[in-house]
Amino acid sequence: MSNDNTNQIEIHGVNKKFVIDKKKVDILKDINLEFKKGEFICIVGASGCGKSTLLRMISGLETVEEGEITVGGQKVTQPTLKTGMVFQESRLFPWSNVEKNIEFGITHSKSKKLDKYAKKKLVNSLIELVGLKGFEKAIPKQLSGGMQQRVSIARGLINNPDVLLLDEPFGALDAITRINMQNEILRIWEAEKKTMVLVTHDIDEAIYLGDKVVVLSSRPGTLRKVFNVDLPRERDRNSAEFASIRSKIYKEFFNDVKRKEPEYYI
Amino acid sequence: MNRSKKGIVDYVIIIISPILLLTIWQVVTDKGWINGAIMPSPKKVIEAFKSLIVTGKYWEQFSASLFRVSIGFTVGTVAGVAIGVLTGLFKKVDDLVTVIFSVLRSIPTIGLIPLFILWCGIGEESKIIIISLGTFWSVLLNTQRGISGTDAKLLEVARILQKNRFVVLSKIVIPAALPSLFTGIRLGISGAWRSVIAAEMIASVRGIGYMIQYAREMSQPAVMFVGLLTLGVVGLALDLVVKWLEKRLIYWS
Ligand SMILES: Nc1ncnc2c1ncn2[C@@H]1O[C@H](COP(=O)(O)OP(=O)(O)OP(=O)(O)O)[C@@H](O)[C@H]1O
Ligand SMILES: [Mg+2]
Repeated sequence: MSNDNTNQIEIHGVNKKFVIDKKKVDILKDINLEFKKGEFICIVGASGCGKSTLLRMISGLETVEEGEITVGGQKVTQPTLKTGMVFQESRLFPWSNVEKNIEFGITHSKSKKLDKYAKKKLVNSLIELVGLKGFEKAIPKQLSGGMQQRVSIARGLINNPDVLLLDEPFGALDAITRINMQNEILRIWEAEKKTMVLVTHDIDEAIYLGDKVVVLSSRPGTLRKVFNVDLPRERDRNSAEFASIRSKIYKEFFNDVKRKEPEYYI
Repeated sequence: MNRSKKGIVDYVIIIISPILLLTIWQVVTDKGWINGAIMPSPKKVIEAFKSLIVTGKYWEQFSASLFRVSIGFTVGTVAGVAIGVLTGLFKKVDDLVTVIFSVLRSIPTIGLIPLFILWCGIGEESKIIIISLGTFWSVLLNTQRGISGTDAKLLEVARILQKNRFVVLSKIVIPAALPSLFTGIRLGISGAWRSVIAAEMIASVRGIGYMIQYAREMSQPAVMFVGLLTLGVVGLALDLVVKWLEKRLIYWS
């Protein structure tokens, strides 16, 4: 892809603690990662291992107290329009139609002063990109889960960010819609040339989509391993290479569980 | 069975009981089983209604009540929404007024009628204040609840998209609060209707409340029933109007 070998995202020595029940609990520990420009990164890990937290820290929604995260060379301290986010629940405004939900990204923007016509054109091009032509005036309750997630992706893209973060964007979808959406997001990624970081707990999804698959261990979330997936797209889930990477990742998880087993005897 | 689609049979069942009730009422009063001086027959009530219409007295009383309710309800709603938005948005403002409001809210509006008569006399002002109060508390409470209950997940969307306070308020907080605000308005309008009658019964020379009170003094039970039925029908109509508006304005729920 358009990897020009500069780092888009760098994560150095990041630890994260949350106060739970009046105690400081380690959530993420010693995370070090570098993602190149234009890469598609997938992060997998068990539920509660801190995947969302890591993504939220990259986005600037969660503070980075220990270590440092940079996006495009800039230290992350708060959200910027250079980083877009797609949440697990589509988080659309139920009272706004598709157009308005997407356009929200650029209403009263400080950086982008577009006239009405230009706004409409931009929104329409995004509606086309995510394949929702004909549904401009539909409100979220009239859309299926997959369609809602497309709106959310379009909203995430409207400020033309360098990075798009996706937190289990297809988690709530059925298997077939999910596979369709995976192909859609690849098509969008290829068209838009963004750096995409996608969190999932579906290992097949991660291998199917990612240039890299980052595996996190659980409680606290530490970096287990980063797998490079050098298979050409469109990838065949049933190929021997795919299966071999899958089995390596499964092993990684399996070892993770084994390693932690003694904890349960306490 | 589809509950939302009603067939003819359903409508028959719905109107069968009121017709039955009217018939029994007519029969027992016709037969003299009930004293006509305390319970007029439906026919007598209709006659009284007709003559009140013809003489223009009905409209005089009805419009007086309607006028007071319109003003009082508007004032109460505007104040309730304004203060509700402030207390909903700013925790500090809420803390500032919470004790005072909690005590005042617990006083039934009717109990305040003598006080406002003392302060403002028995003119329109005291009644309009009472009606405003009868509206105010439920609008305030529900507005506040709606505003402060805005889904934090949607607010986060605004944060990541770098929206200023104005956009957050107009595009997220206000629409998110609308359903709750409407609940407040529905309660408020019935509160207004209750208060106007109470105020008119205690001190007034016009209005439906006065008409009911005066009919008792004049021993005109039929007129009294005209007043009571007016209260029921208007109360129902107001509720239906608000419900209809709600369905239209809150199209997303
Ligand atoms: N704001 C917060 N305050 C306190 N604890 C939090 C907060 N946010 C997350 N946590 C805790 O951090 C841990 C990791 O949460 P996170 O949402 O990042 O997990 P996840 O890997 O995304 O899980 P899932 O796959 O279920 O979404 C959890 O144990 C959670 O309880
Ligand atoms: Mg998560």
